[in-house]
Amino acid sequence: MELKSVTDPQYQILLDEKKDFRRKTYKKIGLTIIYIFLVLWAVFTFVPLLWMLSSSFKDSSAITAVPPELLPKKPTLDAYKRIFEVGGMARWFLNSTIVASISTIINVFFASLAGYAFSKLKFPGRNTIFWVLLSSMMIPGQVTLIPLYILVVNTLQLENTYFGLIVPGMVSVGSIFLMKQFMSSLPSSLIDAGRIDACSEFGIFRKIILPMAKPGLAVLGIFTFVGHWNNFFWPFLITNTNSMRTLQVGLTSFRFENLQDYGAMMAGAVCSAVPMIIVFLALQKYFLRGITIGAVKG
Amino acid sequence: MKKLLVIFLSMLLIVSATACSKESSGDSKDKKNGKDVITIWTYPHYRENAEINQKSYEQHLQELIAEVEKENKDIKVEYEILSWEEGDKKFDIALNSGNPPDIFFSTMKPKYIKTGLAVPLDDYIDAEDRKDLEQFAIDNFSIDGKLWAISQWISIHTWGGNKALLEAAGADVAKIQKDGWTWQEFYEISEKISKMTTKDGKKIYGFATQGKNEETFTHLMRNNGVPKSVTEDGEFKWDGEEAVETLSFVKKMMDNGVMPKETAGLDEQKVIDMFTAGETGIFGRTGPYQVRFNDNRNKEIDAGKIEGEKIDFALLPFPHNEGVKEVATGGGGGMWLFKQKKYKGDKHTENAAKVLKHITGTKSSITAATLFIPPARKSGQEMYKDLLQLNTDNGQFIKRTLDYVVPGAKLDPELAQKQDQILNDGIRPKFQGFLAGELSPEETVEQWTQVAESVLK
Repeated sequence: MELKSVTDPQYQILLDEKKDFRRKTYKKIGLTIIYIFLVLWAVFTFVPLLWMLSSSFKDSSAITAVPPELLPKKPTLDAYKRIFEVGGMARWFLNSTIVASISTIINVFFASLAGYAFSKLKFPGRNTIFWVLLSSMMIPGQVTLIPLYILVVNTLQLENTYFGLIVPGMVSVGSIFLMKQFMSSLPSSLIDAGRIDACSEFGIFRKIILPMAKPGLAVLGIFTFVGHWNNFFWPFLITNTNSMRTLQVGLTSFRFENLQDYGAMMAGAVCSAVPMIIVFLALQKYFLRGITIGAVKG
Repeated sequence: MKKLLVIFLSMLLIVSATACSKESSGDSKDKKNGKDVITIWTYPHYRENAEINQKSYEQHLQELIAEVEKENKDIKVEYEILSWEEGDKKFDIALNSGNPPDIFFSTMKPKYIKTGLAVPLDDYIDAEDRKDLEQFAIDNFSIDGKLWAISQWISIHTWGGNKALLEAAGADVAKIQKDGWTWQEFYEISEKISKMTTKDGKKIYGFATQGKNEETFTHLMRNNGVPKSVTEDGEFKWDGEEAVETLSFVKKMMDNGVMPKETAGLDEQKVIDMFTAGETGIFGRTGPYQVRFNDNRNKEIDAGKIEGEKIDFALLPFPHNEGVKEVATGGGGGMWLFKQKKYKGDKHTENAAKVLKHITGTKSSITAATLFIPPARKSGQEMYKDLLQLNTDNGQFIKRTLDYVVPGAKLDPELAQKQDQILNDGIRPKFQGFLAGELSPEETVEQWTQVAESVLK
C-alpha cells in the first residue's frame, strides 16, 4: 500500500515560515559574528594609528605615563616643532619625495618596456633570459649588498648623492615579472593590427600597449612608490649628512642612548604616513586589482 | 596631463642634478684647500634639552671638532651620526668593502682587529694619557697587549631600588652600596617587600626584571663564580652546578612571589613602569643614568607635569652568592682608529689619531657626565664631579664599582659567532622555557649544554 503524505496547506505555510525565520535568524547571527569580527579587526588595526596620532600631540612624560592616556590631556605641538626645527623634517620629506617619485617613474618605464618585450615579442632566448632574471630573485639582498656598496661608493663615488639613492633601484625583477604577467593578458590582435598599419614597435608600445596597461602600471607605480618611500637601509647606507637623509632614515635620529624621543618619532611617523594614506585612499581600487595581477591569466 | 607629467619629471631631474652637484662640490672644495679630511662615525647619545640647558651630543662633538680644526689648520673633520638600529651594520659593510671611516665609536669587537684595518693606539698615546684612563677602560679595549680604542665612559650595569621600600624592609641601603650584599641578604629584604602593598592595595614585588633575555641570569652567574658563558678557549661554562643553583635561586623567587610569575612576558619598559608605579622594590638591570631619569621625574611631579609618587632612588650592586667574590658588569664604547684598504698614508693616520685623541680627551667627558655615566678619564671625573654627583651615596657607589668591574670575554670572531648561536638556539629559548615554568633548572641547563656541545664540537 502506498502511503501518501497529507499536509495541511496552512501547516505547510507555517512550516515554511518557520524555516524561513530560522534561515533568517542564522543569517543574522552569522552576519553579526562577521561584523563583530570585522569591527574588532578594524579596532585592532586602527588603535595603533590612533595611538601614533595621539602620542604625537603629547609631551614625552605623558607618552610613557601609567596608566596610559589614549587622548592627550594637554595637547602640544612640541614634537612637530622638534622634528622640523631640530631634525630637518622638511628636507627629509623632500628627499623622500624626490627619491620615491623618480624611482617609481623610472621603474615603471623600464619594467613596462621589459614586460612588453617578454610577453609580446618573440626573439631568440626570450624564455632563457626571463628565467635567468627570475632566478636572480633567489639571491638574498644581503649577498649583493657589499658588492653594490663597493660599486656605488668606492667605484662610482655616488655616496651621499641622489644618483646613489636612485640608480640601484631603477629596475627590479619583481616589477618586470609583474608587468610581464599583466601584459600577457592583453590581446595580441591589437598589436597585429598596429603592425598591419605600419606602426613602429615603440609606437605600438606607446599607443596601444601603454593605454591598455594603465591599471597594471598604476599598481606597479603604487607598489614601487610605497616600497621606495618606506625603504630604510639603502638610503641609510649611502647617505652621511642630515641634508641627504630620507624620512625613514631621519626618524631614527630621535633614538638616543637609554632614551627614545617617542613624541618626535610619532610625529615623524604621522608625517610619513600621511602621503601613504592619501595614495591608498585615492588609488585603493588599483591596490585591490593589484592583488589579483599574476594570479589569474587569460 | 602629459605636459604636467613632463614638467614634473623635468623639475625632479633638475632638483636631483643640482643637489648632486652641490654635494660633490663640497668634496672638491676640501681637496682644493688641501686639507686632510678625517671622517668620524658615531651615534646620537643624547638630545638637546633646553629646559635644563643641556646641549645635544652632536653639539658637544661639534665643539670638540671646532677646537681640533682650529689647532690643526690642515685638518677638516667630517662626522656622521648613525642610527642605533642599523649603525653597526652600516659600519660592517663599510669595513668589509675596505673603506671604513677613520674613527668609529664602538664597544670591544675583536672581529674589527681581524680585518687588519683597525689601528692600535699605543704609538699615539703617551704614558701620562694612559695613566689618566681607568684601568678597566684599558683592560676592556686591550687585546694581545695592544690598546685598540679609547673609552669615553665606563658603562656599569646595576640594579635599582626604591629607598623607602628597602628601608621599610629593614635594609641599610648605604651599607649595601658600600659593602655589597649576598643572595641570601637580598632575598630576605625582597621577600619582606613582597609582603607589602601599594596605597591602592596592589601587591609590591621584591624584585622585577625583564624576561626577554638572559641578562639578569648572566649578572647572577657572574656573582656565582662564573664570569663568562664561553671562555676564550672555547669552553662552555654554564653547564655545571652553579648554573643549576642560580636558576634554582630565580625559581625560588618566582615560586614564593618575590618576583612576578609572569616574568617571561615582562620587557624592560614594563619593569620600569612597575618600578615608577611603586609595584616593585628592586629592579634590574639599570645603570647610573637612572639617577638622572629619576631626578627629572621627581622634578616633573613637583612641577605638576606628571602624576605619581616621587621616588628616592638608590643604585644597588648585584648580590653575590655566599663565599663568592662580588663582580660588577660593565663595558662601554670607545673611539677606534681605522685605516682604509687604499691606504691614505702615515700622515693621514697620524692626523686621524690626533683627532681621536682630542675627541676622547678630558673635555669629552662631558658626554659621559651628561649621560650620568662615569667618564673613563680620571681627569674627566674630576672636571665634572658636580654634574656626576660623585659625592652622593649613589656617586660613591659608582666610584666603588669601578674598582671591581670585570670585562666580558674577548672572543675571536669565529668563537663569537658560535657563542651567538649557542645564545640564540640554546640559552635564550631554554631560559624562556624555564621562566614560563616548562623546564626545571636541571632540564634547562642540560638542554642548553647539549646545544653548546653540538655548536662547539
